[in-house]
Amino acid sequence: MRISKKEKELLEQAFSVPAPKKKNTFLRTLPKQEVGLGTLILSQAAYIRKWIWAVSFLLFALVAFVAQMAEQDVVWILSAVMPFAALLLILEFAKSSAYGMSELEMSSRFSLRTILLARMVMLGVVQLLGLLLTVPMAGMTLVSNGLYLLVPYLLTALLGLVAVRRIQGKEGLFVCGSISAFVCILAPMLKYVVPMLYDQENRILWVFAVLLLLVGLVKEYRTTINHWEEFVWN
Amino acid sequence: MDYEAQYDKIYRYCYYKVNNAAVAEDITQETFLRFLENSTYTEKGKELNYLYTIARNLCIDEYRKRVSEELPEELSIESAEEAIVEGLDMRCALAKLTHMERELVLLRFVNEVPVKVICELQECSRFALNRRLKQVLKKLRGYLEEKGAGK
Repeated sequence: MRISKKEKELLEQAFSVPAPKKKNTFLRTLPKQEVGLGTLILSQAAYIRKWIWAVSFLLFALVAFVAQMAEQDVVWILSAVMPFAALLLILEFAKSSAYGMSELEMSSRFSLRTILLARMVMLGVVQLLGLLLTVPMAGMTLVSNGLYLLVPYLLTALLGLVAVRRIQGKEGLFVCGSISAFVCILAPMLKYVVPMLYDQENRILWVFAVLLLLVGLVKEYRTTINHWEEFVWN
Repeated sequence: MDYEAQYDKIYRYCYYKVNNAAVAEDITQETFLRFLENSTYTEKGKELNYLYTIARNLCIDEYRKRVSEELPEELSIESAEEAIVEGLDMRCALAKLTHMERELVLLRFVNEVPVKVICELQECSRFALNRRLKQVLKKLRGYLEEKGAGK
């Protein structure tokens, strides 16, 4: 049931009311609404740029396709793609800073720190779910191959965070692009340069690397946000 | 929920129920206070429904209190003299609708209340509501065309 724009305008005009006199005073007395963590994270999905979602899904669709088509070296193909998934995460993270909106967003109802964390969690979880789905599709074991794929992903994310903290503006984003290209080449190259890294008995090294990168990521996230806050304050 | 945006919509809804700006604003504020008192209900995802139900009940109470009183001049169509002619035509056309029909138009097309919420408020099915809305719109457009043809 639709009405034309003109009809809507006329209706609004016909139903116009005298301006409320006590609105602002009253609204100030209302308690602030508390938003749950889940609601906050879900609400941020709409603010992540559509093309970031589109490219993320496209990337994993491509990975799923390749995983089914390729008969060998699937894990190296996938590990070459993972840095680009991480690049999308960093591009979203650095959006406020690159477009000079971080100061404004820091003073909004939810601080930039919370908003960015919510968006990173949202996008990161979706990408990891994509990984969870595609790894078994390729007929690979989730534990070992998942580790081989997580390392380039986390490494790109960590180096990307360092880059956007150190290099302000859009230049930082270009550096992130270069980092993901570098990791993209590095991951499959390791297989030929240090093949023993992929031996069964060395798997613990990969677990260690994932944990180390995760700790590094959390630390770097906090440092970057603190740095932006100090930067704005100055 | 955006209280600020909903405040204006509930106020408009109350105003067209009680026809008095001060009373409408008092009812609007009372609506919000009662809404916030019952925090368990607000978490069930039916906030709008709850808000409009409180507002409607408070308006009914107010209406019962002063059912014999004359309508204040704020409602009169004459007060729209300053409005542009088209706006006046719309007001005249709306005045020809029943109270229930006007409320439907206000809820759906002005306050943009979701169909699901109106169905629950009016205790009718989605199909019945769509049929009613269609009839009301047809009626409204008919009146407007009549007005247009008369000029």
